[in-house]
Order: sequence, then structure tokens, then C-alpha cells
Amino acid sequence: MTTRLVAAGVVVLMGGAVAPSAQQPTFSAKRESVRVDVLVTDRGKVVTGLGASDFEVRDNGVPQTVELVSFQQIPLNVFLAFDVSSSVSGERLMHLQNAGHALLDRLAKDDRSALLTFSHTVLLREGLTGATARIRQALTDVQPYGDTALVDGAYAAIMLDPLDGGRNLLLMFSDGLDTASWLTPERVLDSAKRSDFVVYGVSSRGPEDSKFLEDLTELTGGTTLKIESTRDLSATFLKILDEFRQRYLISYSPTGVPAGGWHRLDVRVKGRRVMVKSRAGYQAGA
Amino acid sequence: MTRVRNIELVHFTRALELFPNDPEVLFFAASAHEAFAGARTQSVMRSIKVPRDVSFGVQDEDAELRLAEQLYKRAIERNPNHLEARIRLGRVLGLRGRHKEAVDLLRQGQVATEPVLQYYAHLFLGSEFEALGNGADARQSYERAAALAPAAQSPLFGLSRLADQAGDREGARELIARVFALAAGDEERVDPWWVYEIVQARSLDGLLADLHRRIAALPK
Repeated sequence: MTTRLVAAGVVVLMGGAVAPSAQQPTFSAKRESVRVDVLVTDRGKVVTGLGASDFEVRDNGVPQTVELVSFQQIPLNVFLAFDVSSSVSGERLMHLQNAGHALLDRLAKDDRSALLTFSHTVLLREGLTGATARIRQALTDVQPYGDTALVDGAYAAIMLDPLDGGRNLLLMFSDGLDTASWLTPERVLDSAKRSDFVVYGVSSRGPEDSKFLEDLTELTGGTTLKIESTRDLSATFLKILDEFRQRYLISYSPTGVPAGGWHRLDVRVKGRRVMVKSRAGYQAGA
Repeated sequence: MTRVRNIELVHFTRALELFPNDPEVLFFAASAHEAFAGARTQSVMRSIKVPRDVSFGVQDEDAELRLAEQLYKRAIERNPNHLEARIRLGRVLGLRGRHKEAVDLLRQGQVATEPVLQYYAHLFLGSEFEALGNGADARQSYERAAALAPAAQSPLFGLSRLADQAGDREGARELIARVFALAAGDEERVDPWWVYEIVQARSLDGLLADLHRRIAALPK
């Protein structure tokens, strides 16, 4: 049986219950598995060919034994969350639609996708599906209007996590300043700790105005890419998809750490001076 | 001008000079500073470079909230029945981290007769109770807001977030499914939260009409 114990960008595969009712319960060895999406680059180029023994993982500072590494094997769940406020009109909308179509073209047969849009309203245009044509049509039908609720949109997207143990990429695009969200960035970032997404952001705003997106992507192990114009949006989206595909999925059974609470993650590659990017940690238990 | 989000400080400043004790003038000046503390204005102020001797009169978020607090308090002193000022002051105090004071004011605002004001009072109470760690009251407040504006998404987001924080991810997802089930069209899907910065202008026609009546009644 595969059950999620913890949802925080890290899935816990559970063969049994967590250690029972002690004051500070710890994970019982060999029963649960934490999965972490990891990107390894060397001077900007993705490093391939690594195995489990190449990785060093610390969970709250406690070294763990990496048991499994998979690479480009598991189908992707690609969630597109696009800002369609009034600022994304005319040429910008065309660029956004073209970029979305280009990304959909690049999906593999078993990959799935979904489309959520946000202006001041948050709309699920099409839920997670393997029928790419439906996403295409929904994207084509988009009409920009209104203000921007980026934070609410991000929260709604996070709640779309299919909980199926797949690899979830959330690609958020926004060119606007959030002026309509009800939720605060802090509250959504807290919920993101319990989600299974790696979030990539594409923004044309300055650092102050895109802080939430940067915090969200950093927390979940993704990146925010700044663009000067939407003209090259297709290339940006494809770069994100290609990069996500080349991430490692490593797993380990947590030992020697409490079962609940926030778990800080530190992932490195042994003996190599490379860049390793993974989520900052995961929230275990409620 | 407020109605079209063209809030110019110079008019409020002059009005305060002329009528420093008028509760409506104080209220509108306070709401201008509350709006200036928001993301829309603060972002613009960050993005423009002006010569050293030029000022738009807009300060940073903290300073604008402080000014809004002072002016709302003066408005309430002059007119203790000004429930909209109490609700707005409650929100401002919440933004300044004074959640218990905010709850007191918002509770007073709950008795407003206008549904839109009741909505704001309950919505803001939801957030303030959440900040105080009082999940049950937060939930009840958001539910009341949702009942007042069934087409609004904000209370549902608040409720979903509460469920998620409590570890009920499935409940949180169901509430977001309710957001997705709301009508897609802009005309059916109305959330008063979206017009909070300008909603106070709804009473201006009445105030102007009253002013004209009083002027007409003056001895010739």
C-alpha cells in the first residue's frame, strides 16, 4: 500500500504507521520513504549519471541513507498556472498561449497536464488530464481581464496535488503585481511546505514585486526566471520543462529524526563541487 | 475620483485643513492612507524615481497604516456610530499585528446593517482569529462571510487554508473545489473584497446630495 503521510514536496511512502504515541515520535526505520526532487548542475549544465551512493542527504542535520535514485523515468504531472489579468493582453497573451502550446508539444506520452488561470478570479480551466488537446483548447479560449491574485492562484494550484506519487511540476507565470488575493504570502508558503510540487516561476516584475514567487520557488526547490519581455516565453517554458525532466528523484527512509514537524533538508553530491537544488525541507505529519 | 481608484492626497489634505473635525472627512482621509499602504500604491512608489525635492506625499506601508489608524480613531471619536470606520480600523490594526484590538473593533462592526459591511467584518475577523490561533472562531467568521456573499471566493480560500493548517488537506481541497465551482463569469462572481479600496465611495452620492440640500437651505 502506498499512502502519503507527509505532503510537503516530499512524499512519504508508508508501509505501516509512524512510531506510536511517544512524546517525540521518530520515524520507524525502513517503513516510510521520503522522496526529494533534486537538480544537479555543474557550471550551468545538468549533471547526469549519478547513483544513490553519490548523494548525501541530511534530514534535520542527521545523515540518511539514499536508497533509490530515478532519472527521467516517472511521468510528469505538469500544472500550468497562468496570470490572465488585463495586463496580459494582445501580444503578451499570444506569447503566453504560444509558450503553453510549445510546452504541451514537448510532453511525453504518459505525462499529464492541467491549466489554472488567475486574474482576480481563480479558475480551473482543465483538471489534470492526459488529453493534451483539452488543455490546448482551454488555453486558446482564455480572455484576459481584471486584477491579479497571484497568491490565491498559487494556493489553489497547490491544492490540485493529485496525491498519486507522481512528479509534480507547477509552472507559474505572472507579469502583474498581486492586488486581489485574500490569502497572505506567509500562509500560502506554509501550505506549500505540505505540498508535493516543485514550483518554477516566470515573472517580469522587479525583485520586490516578485518576492512571493521567489520564496515559493526557493522553498519547493524550483527557480524563478525573470524575463524582460514575453517574446521569448516559449524558450523559457521549454527550458523549465527540460530542466525538470533532468532532475533526480531520490528517496530515503528517515531515521533518527522526529516523525512530525518541519524537516530541514540538505542534499549534496559527495566529492564534487556541483550545484544541488532541492526543496528546503518538508512538513511531516499535520 | 476614489471610485475610479484615483485617490489624490491633496484633496484630503485640504479637506482636513478646512474641516479637521468632520468625521466623514477624517474617514475618507484615513481610507486614502489605508489604500496607500496597499500593494498597488507601494509598488508604484518603489518603481518610480523622483528628484530629491519632489514628493508624492506617499510614505512607506508602516507609516501609511499609522496615519490611517490615527485618522480612523479621530473619525470614531467624532462619530462613535461610524461602524465602517471601526471595521476599517480593525483591519488596519490587524495589519499592524494588533490582532486582539482588531477583533474587538471588528466585532463591533458586525452589527452594521449593510451586508457589504457585515461581509468585511466577518472576513477580517476570520483572518484575525486565525492570526490568534483561534481556528474555531476563524472558521465561523469565514462561514458567515461566505453565507453573506455566496459567489465570493475569499472566504472559501480562508476556510481552505484553515483546514490545511489543521492537517485536513482533503477538506482544504474540497473547499478549493468549491472555488472552482463558482460561476466563471465576472458578473455572477462578485467578491466585495476586490473593491475594498474603493467601496467607501459608494456613499459619496448621498453625502453630496446632503451637502447640496444644506447649501440650498442657507439664508440667501
